[in-house]
Amino acid sequence: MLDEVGAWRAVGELGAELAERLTAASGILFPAPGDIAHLRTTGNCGVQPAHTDAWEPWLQHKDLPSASLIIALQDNTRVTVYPGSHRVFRRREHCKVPRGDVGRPVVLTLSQGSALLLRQDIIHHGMETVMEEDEVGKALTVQNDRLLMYLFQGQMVVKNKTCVIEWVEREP
Amino acid sequence: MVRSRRSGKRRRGEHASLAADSPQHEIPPPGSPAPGHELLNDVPPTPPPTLPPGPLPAPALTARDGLLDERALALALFEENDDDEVLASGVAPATVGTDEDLRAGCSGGTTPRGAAHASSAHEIGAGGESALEVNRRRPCRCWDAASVPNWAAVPGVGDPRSLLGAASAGYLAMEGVLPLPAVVPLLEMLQRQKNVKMRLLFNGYPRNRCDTHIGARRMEDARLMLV
Repeated sequence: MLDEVGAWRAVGELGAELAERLTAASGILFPAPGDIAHLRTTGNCGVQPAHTDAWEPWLQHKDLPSASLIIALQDNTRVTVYPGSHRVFRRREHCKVPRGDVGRPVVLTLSQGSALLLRQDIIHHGMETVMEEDEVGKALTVQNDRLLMYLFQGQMVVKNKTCVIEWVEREP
Repeated sequence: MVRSRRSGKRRRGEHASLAADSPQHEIPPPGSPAPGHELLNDVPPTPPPTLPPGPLPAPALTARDGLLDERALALALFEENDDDEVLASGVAPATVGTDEDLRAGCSGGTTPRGAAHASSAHEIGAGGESALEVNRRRPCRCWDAASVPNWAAVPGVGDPRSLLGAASAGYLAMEGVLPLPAVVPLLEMLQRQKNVKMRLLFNGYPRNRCDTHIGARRMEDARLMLV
């Protein structure tokens, strides 16, 4: 039990330390995150829809965005990101994005204890459930547990919504 | 005398108070003078004692002083010194990574953090403050243990700029930032949870870093509990 308390503290301290360093880097206060969410992929889950953690990513400051922190607690925790995709929201104010406007996706595989710090206006999504075979050769889904924290910039209001990306052929 | 049934009733505990209130006659022990004897005595009363010349004697310790001394002695037992080995919560010594991590955990502003973290603190404090000053301002970090994050894996002050800038890729991966002594119990704890509402409990991590004890338990008390 005390191990768990200590581990939980360590996660909180990690978020707080990152907020502190973001504050030092940006000059704008990133308060220590007060909310740690537990994300679980279980059963037969497909690929998440592409989304940004920011509800309205075009309102994010281009140089000082809020950030999200994903902490992998298991090996093979996979997240797909679209590097530089936050720039598409500098010229549009909706979630309909032409697929060709963002670059090639990158699948990041996080090992146990690794973490991923993301801008909240970057397009990303979680991956499908990993399958493994049991001793009799039957395919089983591997449950994946991970932690998520939001590191909001300044006095940003928390919105428990994301911007789900609708891939379009051309600009509407 | 006949006492009515009603007036004869007594509540529990009433007996003692009644006995205390009733007039009491002291019976003098055999051989002692009768009451009022001193009024009839012609012997003048003894004068009050006078102070001897010279410095006044030190006042006697009161009960409160004694308690304070005891408290000071008790606290002295738990004072940090170079010989102290502060083991963190629930972690066997064999699993402890480095002494630096441990001492960084319970510094309470009195000892600097580990060497791995000193460089970043130095960077933060580059604007005139020494790294030690920055460390002293840091809130107490108790409950840290071998589960303390790998601060060297956390991006330094310069790295988030590449995350924040408009030309950045927009993400930063941190390899092995949380050590296994933290990950394993966390995973076990989370995998036990079948109820999504447990998230409410997890949200109890205080926003204010100084208030690392949700129950408002002070640092000294927490360490006493560990002993």
